[in-house]
Amino acid sequence: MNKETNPVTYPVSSVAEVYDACHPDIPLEDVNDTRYVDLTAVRGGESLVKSIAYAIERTRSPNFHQQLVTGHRGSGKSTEFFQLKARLENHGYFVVYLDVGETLDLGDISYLDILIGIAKAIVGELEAAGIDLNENLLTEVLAWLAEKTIITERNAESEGKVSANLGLAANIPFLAKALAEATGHIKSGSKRREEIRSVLERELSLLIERLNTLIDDARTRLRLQGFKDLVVIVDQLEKMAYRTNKDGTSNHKELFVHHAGQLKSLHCHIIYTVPINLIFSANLGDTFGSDAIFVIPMVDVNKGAGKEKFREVVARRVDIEKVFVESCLVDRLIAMSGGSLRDLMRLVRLACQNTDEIIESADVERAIRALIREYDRLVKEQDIPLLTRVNESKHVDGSFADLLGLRVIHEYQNGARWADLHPAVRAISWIDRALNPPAIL
Amino acid sequence: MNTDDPEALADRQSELPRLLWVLRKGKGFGLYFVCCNAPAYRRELVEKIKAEYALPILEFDLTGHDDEEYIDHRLLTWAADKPAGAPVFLYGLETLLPTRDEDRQFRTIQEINWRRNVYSQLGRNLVIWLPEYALTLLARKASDFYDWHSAVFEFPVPEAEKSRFVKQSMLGFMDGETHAANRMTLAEKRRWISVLNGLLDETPKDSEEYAGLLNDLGRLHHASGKYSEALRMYQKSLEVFHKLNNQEDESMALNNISQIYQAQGDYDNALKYLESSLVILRDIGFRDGESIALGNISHIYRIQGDYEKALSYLEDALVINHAMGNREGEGTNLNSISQIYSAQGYRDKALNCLENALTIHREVGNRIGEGATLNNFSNFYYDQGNDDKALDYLEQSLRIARDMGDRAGLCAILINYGAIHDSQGNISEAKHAWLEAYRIATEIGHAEGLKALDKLAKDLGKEGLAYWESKM
Repeated sequence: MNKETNPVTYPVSSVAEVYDACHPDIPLEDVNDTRYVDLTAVRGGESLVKSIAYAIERTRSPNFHQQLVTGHRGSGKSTEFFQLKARLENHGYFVVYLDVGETLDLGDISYLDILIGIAKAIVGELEAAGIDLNENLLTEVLAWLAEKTIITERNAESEGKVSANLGLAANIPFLAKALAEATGHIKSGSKRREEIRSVLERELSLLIERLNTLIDDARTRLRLQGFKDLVVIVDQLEKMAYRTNKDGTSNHKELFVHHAGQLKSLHCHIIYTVPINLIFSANLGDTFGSDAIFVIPMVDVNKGAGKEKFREVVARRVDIEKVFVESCLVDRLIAMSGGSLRDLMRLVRLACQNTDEIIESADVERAIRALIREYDRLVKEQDIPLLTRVNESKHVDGSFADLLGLRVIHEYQNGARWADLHPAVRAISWIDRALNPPAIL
Repeated sequence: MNTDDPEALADRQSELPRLLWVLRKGKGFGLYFVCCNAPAYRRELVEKIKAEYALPILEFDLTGHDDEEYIDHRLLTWAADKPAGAPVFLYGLETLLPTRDEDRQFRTIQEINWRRNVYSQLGRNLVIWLPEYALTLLARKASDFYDWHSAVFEFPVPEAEKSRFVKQSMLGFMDGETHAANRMTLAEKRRWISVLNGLLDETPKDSEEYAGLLNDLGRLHHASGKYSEALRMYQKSLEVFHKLNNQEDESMALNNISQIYQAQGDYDNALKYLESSLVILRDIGFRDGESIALGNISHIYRIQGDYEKALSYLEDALVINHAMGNREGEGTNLNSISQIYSAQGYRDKALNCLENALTIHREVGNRIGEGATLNNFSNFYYDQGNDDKALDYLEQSLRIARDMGDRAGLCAILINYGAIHDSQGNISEAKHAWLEAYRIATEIGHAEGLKALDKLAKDLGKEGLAYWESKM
């Protein structure tokens, strides 16, 4: 990422600046970022930050709070996590944020990769904070892991890369390296990774025990430094592509339902993001508890309050009066966003493209047509029966998982949970005809 | 897009200016998609953009991408020393999203979804060019990655120039004497499968061209050992040819379908399709086609050991070819007849046919046929225990296959070549040939070759194909 030499002051007032000020792909990492708008009130009133922070603060050792979070893509989830992290840190917690997409070198993910990835992240963050772990313990866990991986290596008849490193004294970077070895060798389909997994799987309880001794040691040391406890946020896990397994279940269920026990087994407060279709999985509640999933709903921008908040989101970033010919053009974009922050940002950007002076009505209309075309690509004729159903009932169940995942349908929460078509989908002419057939005279 | 709608028309005309605007004004990382179906049109557009943008544009083609490395790794390493701020045009992602290889598709989708954040480290605009079908697939399946885009630009091939661009995009596919399916490596086939899939979207359904593309796709899948996909393509092309009342090509499609069933060992179905093909061919009086169908029917009877029937069909074919003065066909028939005589133990007759076939092939310059007959000569002498002569003929056959770029043929010949050396106790030379055969077979996805090589490894007391892989 290019570092800006001159920090931008928001709101910006020229179209060229608007384009960058409304980048849809950059979550707000700084809690003091002036662009941040708390949308809790228009999302149904329940704050992710507060409710999870309270739950963690109320849960005392030896119990740990385990939380699943989901929401539509682009609903501002990552930004909320950064807020949560800051709040917990202010309250004395040591928070490890793990972006699995960046940290784990993974193709087809298994719970083992996640467990080891978490341990690795904890070790790495403690090191970064200058907190030493018990050296003997590290050596022991390292030796155990190395032994397991070396055995596999020998079986695979390849060079003993790990054994070559074993002579070194144990220290944190080296352990991180060995843990990387165990989760690495990615590029899905890698035979070696399968083998490492199966070795570790056979000794699963031992693995978890070792990782937990490590985590317990980390927590003890953190407390000595004055921290209340350790919290791990595992983000981006919801991006796991959906696949049906041979036995008819999905890889999503396999990880979050069948291996829920393992995911819950670590000795720390932990938050996982999960794919949105899992909210329809009845079994999930059995293992994680009935209110274990926090859903971040979209903002209902048809209501005055939602619309106002979204206006504020735009106004914090751009000077509406200076950039738009008429400020009501912003309302057009807000209505078409369907309450999705990402679509709102995208629409503003689309309206800028090919405009140098000021955004006019024609630019806004062109942006809206472009968004409609993009949604047109996502909907298929087979989807019509489901779209008709949600159009009438405003309610979704498991059969809508795909369409929710594509954000063709949005879920909202004000008073009660309800769902509707994305306004850009509603505006596709062939969908509109299918949903509103001309009356027979 | 509806062409009659003035707004849609205006939008289409603003696509290029919008793209240029984004390249100029978008700072840092930004993800864009461009939808364009014909590679020839894409090349022309890119030239135009380069001329108008007047700043460097980096172009990166993923065709033939090595699975062992992440796309983003390659991209980042490659772009590291390139001029700062220059946008990247990325091509060929569709080759990693094959419509029928779900495993490969899943791996790519999983990879780009998970590793989305890494792409932002590019710090420049990334413009991914994709044909319509692949973009739709990406949008629906890799939604986390797709959802990051700041715009999609659509460049449908201009109606008036469609056929020119489709033809230009096909250059390189039709080159040479051997059908693309027999000459290309697996990576090339993969690329062409994506290109042809893209062109399908630009071609009116129910047209000759559409059915022709389906047939070419069928051949590419067929040659890669993807039988069920090949069958699907052939069936679809059959439907279109039938609708268009193009009987000649309909019979070709029926014939091609029969070859899939034959490869799968479903001889009843293979015969059924060949006989339907034969009826049409006789009906329209297309005699060259008739003789080919007869030859294919004969082949099935021969595989099943019914030599009498096999011979009688070939004799019918020979009569036709003789009457038509089709020397190439005669040569092919004589070569096949020799194989029946060989199987029946009539060595003199077999040798006689082979000699006549060879003379004809050389006379008409049918080099593929010549290579096949030389291979059969080799088999003939090998059966008689004359290894030297067998080797001599096989070496000639090998040279032709190499010259012609007939990789499927080369693979089969190398397997035989190894077998002769093996029988002479020259095991290292044999393994050398089989290893080359293995390399080709994996490259082109030669299913029968791989099956043979698997067995050969097991005969050597090894664990099958993995053995060859470990020797690579």
